[in-house]
Amino acid sequence: MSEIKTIGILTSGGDAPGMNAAIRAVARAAMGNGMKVMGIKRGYHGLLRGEIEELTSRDVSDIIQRGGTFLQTARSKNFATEEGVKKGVEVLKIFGIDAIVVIGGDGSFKGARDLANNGIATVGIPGTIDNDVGCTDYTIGYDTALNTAMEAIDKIRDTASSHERCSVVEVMGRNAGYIPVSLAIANGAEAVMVPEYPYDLDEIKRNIIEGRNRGKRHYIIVVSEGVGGSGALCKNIEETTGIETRATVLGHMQRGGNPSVLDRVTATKMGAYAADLLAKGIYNRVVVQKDGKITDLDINEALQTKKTLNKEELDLVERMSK
Amino acid sequence: MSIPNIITTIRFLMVPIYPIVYCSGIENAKIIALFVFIFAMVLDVVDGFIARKFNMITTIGKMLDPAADKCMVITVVATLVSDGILNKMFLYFVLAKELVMIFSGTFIYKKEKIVIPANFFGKLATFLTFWLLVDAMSVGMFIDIFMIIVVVSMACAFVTYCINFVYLKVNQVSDNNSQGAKL
Repeated sequence: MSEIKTIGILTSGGDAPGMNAAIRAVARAAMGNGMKVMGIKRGYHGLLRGEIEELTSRDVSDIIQRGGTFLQTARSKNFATEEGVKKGVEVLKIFGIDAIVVIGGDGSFKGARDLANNGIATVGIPGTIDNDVGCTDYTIGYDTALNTAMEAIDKIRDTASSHERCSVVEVMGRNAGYIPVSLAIANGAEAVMVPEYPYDLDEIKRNIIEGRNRGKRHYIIVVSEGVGGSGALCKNIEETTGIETRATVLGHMQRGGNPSVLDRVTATKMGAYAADLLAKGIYNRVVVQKDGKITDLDINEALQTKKTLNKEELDLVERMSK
Repeated sequence: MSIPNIITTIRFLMVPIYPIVYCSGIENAKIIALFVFIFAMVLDVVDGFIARKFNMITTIGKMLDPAADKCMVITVVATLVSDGILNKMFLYFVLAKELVMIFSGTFIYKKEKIVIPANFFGKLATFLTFWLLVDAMSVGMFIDIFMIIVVVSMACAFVTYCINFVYLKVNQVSDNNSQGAKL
């Protein structure tokens, strides 16, 4: 491929705090490298619709501190088809875009890989609060979401403690337990339920009763949304233990909020790295963080890389609950 | 005001200067007018270059830059038509094309929230128009054929513009009919 002159940026899948910081970094670094930068609204959905406009340096001013993504995001069913991808390539050609930077999770990278297979230079940046992208140790938005949820659970704990209740808190993370386990450690939870490992409900209930006998006044149980059923769980616990149990589903509040220092810095580093890759003529890569360093991987390899939740962290929750 | 916008303003001020010089009757008036035109076109390239290179693109600049360009070209064409060098049908065609493009562009942006980008033929037409006008003011050879070529390239640009719009619109309709799950 000849030199990359015009790049498009899109955010896809679930939004995450720090995506704006990443967009800003890609745009500013690319402009510094002499490229023209186009903003694609509403992810692949907006790409198919041609919702594309040139971004200026000023367009990305005053967004580094904002949660969400100012380019908007969507999930597109049409783009998942071969025909949809071909259309996407056609639209990119109409707008004269040679390369695109996709900020999102694994699903978004599959779309990027399909574009790459059709001759569009692509670079992925991992952005999701779930931290469930196999090829990278860290995804943009994870830290902010953890802090937001941690503060919320702190508040729930205040009232649970006063009323001597048990609180079941359902948190995000889809089919990955990274958010629930970290929160369980940070909030001193009694137990955590994640989709990756089996749990013993009787054991959890026994711990609650034993805890009460040792003088505990509150019990926090963190449940992953991938496990779900927090309402039924409450009833079950209350019936067996006789302790009043309430469920809280934190929901979308975990996606919002101003990005933390870690997310802003990581997003800026990854964004600039992505723009520099394209300037060097390197593409069809995913920017990743490995052992604290920003580096890049082939997009196909990245999609095949898996990571698993550390069992030790899960055990730590239990050890700390005694 | 940023430097590119100052340059664009100068280009606007040069628009009336062109016919004044052309019709002034001074010695070498047409040659001087030609240089006024070329200078304005050079400034057009320069302000775009500076704006991009030094991150000085502004919303107002994005609108004023093409406007200044079109004003200059139309003024030059009108002047040359009144002097009998160019066919007046050419002026009507250029005027009609610009008006249609401005109105359809604004309408599509307001209604569909999309901006149809410039295409290859549009860039070709701009390039050829410049050389046609330089030719008309200097050597004056093959002007009739040259005019037809420019008209054809503008027509191709317009047709491509319409095709691109229809393409995106069809995508939108098919997408609306199978709206993806939004989480």
